[in-house]
Amino acid sequence: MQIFKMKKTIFYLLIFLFLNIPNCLFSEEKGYSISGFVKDQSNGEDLIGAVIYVEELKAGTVTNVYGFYSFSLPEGTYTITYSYLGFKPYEVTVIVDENKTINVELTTQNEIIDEVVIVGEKKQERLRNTEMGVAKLNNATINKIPALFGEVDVIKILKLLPGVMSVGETGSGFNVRGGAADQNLILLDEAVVYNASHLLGLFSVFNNDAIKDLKLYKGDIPARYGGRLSSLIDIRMKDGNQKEYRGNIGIGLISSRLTFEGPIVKDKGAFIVSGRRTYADLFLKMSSDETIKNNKLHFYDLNLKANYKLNDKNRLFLSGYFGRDVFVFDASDFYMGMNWGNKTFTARLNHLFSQKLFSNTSFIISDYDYLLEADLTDLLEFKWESQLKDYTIKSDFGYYLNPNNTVRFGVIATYHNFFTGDASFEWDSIIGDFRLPNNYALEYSLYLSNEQKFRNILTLNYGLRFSMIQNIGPTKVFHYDEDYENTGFTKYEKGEIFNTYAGLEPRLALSYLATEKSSIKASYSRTRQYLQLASNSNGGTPLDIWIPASPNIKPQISDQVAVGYFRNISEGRYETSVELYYKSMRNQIDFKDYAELMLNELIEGELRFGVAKSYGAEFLIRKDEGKLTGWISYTLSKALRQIEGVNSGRWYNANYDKPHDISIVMNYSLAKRWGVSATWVYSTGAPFTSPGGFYDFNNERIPWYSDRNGDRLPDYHRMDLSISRYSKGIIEGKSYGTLNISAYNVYLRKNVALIRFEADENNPDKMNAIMTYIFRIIPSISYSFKF
Amino acid sequence: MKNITIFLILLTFLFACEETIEWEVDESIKKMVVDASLTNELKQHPVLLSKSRGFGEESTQMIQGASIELSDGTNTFNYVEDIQNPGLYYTENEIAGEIGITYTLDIELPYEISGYTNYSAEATMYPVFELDSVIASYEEETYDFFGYIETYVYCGVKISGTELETIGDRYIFKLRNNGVLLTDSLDELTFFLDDPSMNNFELVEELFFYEDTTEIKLNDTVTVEVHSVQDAFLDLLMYYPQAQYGGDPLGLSGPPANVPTNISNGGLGFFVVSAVSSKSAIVFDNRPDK
Repeated sequence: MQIFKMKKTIFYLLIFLFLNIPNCLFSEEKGYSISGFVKDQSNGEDLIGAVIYVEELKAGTVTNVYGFYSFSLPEGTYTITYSYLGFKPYEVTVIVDENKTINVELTTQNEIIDEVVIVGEKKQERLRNTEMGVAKLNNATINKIPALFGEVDVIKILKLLPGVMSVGETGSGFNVRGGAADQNLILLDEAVVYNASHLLGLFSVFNNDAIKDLKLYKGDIPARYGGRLSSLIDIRMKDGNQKEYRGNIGIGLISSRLTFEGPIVKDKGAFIVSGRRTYADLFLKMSSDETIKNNKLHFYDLNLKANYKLNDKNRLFLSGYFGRDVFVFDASDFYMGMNWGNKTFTARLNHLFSQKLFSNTSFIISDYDYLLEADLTDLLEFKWESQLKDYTIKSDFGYYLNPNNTVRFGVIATYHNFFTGDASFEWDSIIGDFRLPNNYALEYSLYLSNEQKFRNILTLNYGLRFSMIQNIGPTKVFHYDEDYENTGFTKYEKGEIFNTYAGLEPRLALSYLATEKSSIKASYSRTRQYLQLASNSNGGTPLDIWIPASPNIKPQISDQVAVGYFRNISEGRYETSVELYYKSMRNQIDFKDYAELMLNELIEGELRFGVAKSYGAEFLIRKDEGKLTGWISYTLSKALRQIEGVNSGRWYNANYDKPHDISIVMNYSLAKRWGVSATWVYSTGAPFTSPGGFYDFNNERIPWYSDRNGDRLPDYHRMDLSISRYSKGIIEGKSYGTLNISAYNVYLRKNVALIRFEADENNPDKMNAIMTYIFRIIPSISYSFKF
Repeated sequence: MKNITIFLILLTFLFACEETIEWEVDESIKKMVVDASLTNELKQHPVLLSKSRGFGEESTQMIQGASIELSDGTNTFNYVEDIQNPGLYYTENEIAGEIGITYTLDIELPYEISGYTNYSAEATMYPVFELDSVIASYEEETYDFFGYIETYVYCGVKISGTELETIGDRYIFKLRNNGVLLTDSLDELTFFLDDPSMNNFELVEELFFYEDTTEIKLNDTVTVEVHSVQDAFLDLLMYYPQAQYGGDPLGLSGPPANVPTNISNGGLGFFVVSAVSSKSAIVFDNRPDK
């Protein structure tokens, strides 16, 4: 295969580059460091990805996720511009004769009223940096887009970007460039979120009021991240307002939100508390009927964060997320309850060793659990619980050696605890306890990368990540023969390491500035994945469990190559790009026909392994400034799988293979206080397995199926609209309210969620195809008040 | 498990609607279907050959003019077509299968179906255990469902027996009344499979339950048959309801797939080879006031 030859070449190239680092780094002219933080003047929030541009060098850099930047300049006088979308650019003349710290606070540009001044050169940053397959969304963009039930949801918006698909309309699960839903690494302030869904995927767990910034990597995931094959969604929570106490109240059809933030010590530390709760079930309380009154159906989220600047060199961040879905059916004789949720906790310390060396050390806890219980008085009691808990320590370093080289390195170690499942029941007088063996694993990685610029025309970002997983006891490992039949098991003692997988993950990206307005980029990345979700369903359910690589499950490995052409049109008002990718994945997992995944201790025997490939072209035109903003994206792609024993070993379409996918997102500022937004999406119908006919056997009619996913549902398309009106305060920069009216699926398209076949009631010999569609038009209204 | 599924389905489809739609299927693609059995009873053993049917077809097309052979590795037995029943074939002579022997069924069709005229199936006859007892009686039961009280009469058939010492045994149970097979469709079959934790299991069960007492009358002779069957046939019994539904809406059981078969060349159906043991009992009245 061509791709494997290419990998070898890339591997040697990486080694060559690393060996050259010392030469490249130290042959540079000696200079002085300019470093500092870029913040939002109104609230002191760090600005992530703000552009710092040095006019004389026609070169620049961007701030990291903590708003920090650093670069060095030879002695001289320079004009430096700091800019960030939606903020007034700040220009400063600097005499560089010593190391300098320049902290900048940018002021907001009232984007509803004004055209933002376009500074053409700065637009080049997008062309010059090596990032491909990357999409950024900030809080303001996310808020404008019409939402189902008026609940703004970042994950839903991600699906509007090229290369991002989802199987069904409702699920929060999504697929990036032909990867499975469990191949996305979702980080909230660096903590892994294992189940990003509320209400079985109708909504995601991310409350937009608490989110500052979201970045999606579809291709060249930076070497500092790993653990999933297909994508990284890096979500950063707001840090809190360092200047004054502020708040935001939102009232919607199904939920209400409250955010409150303010300084702990002005300009030194801040906190933010943001909560959201759905309240459909609060109305049930009003009922006089006891059986209705006690029922519960809600979810809530709570985001907490605080940060404090200990001194000029140290800053501490604490953040947490707590969310839960609760369903309770409680009649006098019958109780059934189910709840699940994520908890994450992150403690981080930013430390500046010097102006050139920035570090962050984090301690992270991620926790996902679910509980299902039923109680039929005097008859049956049932309880089932499962939990996944991670403890992580990581240290990341950024060494801003000179204007042309930024070296990053770090180490990460995670201890995974899989409390796979514990079910107990009491039926009549029989008491049973069914416990699946717990699993424990240690996952480590080390990385080193360098972003290197050559004469401001060519930028290379190359890195190497080494990752490893070790399965440790106490646990029980089942053995299987070649027919996947269980042949016994081995028990391992506490702390005993019984299985290790390790490997290298080279990453390489380059960007070549072809003209002032266009660039060509290319990337190669290998990713390894050691955890997988045992889910046979399309959208994912809360009861799915994560299982680690083990003696029976090899780590998943992916190789992706991509090339892209990026061009700014009309002085950078429009950003356009075309990206082509090819991805080859090994040790992919599927399930045997009629697999039993729930509470099955022999679950590994239900798995089947194989390969997957995907390829495609992504077209994007995006406008972020002016009265009209938005984007149009089109993806042409294919995602295929070949798994032993599935579909007779032949290639088949992945569940999320939708060759054509179009999204149009438009936001328009109508007048000073009015905004309208519209989205339109179209995609080829999702593949499904349909019967080719029926046969009679032993007086039963049984369907026969041809190829797995050989058929398709009708094409999917939908339009959503929303209109917002802001109160006067927005112009004066004071407290203001926003009234939003939106409608989902405005032209009442019956989008098919599934098709099933059953005998006609009047003529049992005739079979009917019955489609299920979920949403017709869903109008909604919400009001929020910012104070 | 079923409750959870229903619960989830209810939640997801709180807003869902259904509608019958037109669906095009290539009706020209047909599959060969075999419904064949062989036991250790001395008799003429049947094979039924038919074609699969499309969505709009209201009757099954039977396959006539096939030539069928059964082989036990040394001997070959021929089948003859039943003139009255198109598609039905019987062994020419009365034969009895033997435990431990692997049988091969070879079918040659007069014309191609799905690109083949030859189909075959292979199955081994496994031993079966003997029932210790069968008790068939009319019973009366009262149930109280959240205050709703009802009394009803049913005919229950209880069995007892200890399944074999070997691991991996699979059995199905059939019921006859005065010689007539009552469990004549897949959904009426009861099955048992052992595993290391259930091996040599002593079965004491009320296996059959007929609420409609016109089907079994007092003093009828009921016979319970135990058939040892192939692994894959038991899988067929377990999975065909899911195949019929086409997977559940949330896909908890995964995408639909074909139920197992042991017919070659993409044929459907099954060649079931089984050793049979049976025990009979006279139906008596066990109701308290009788």
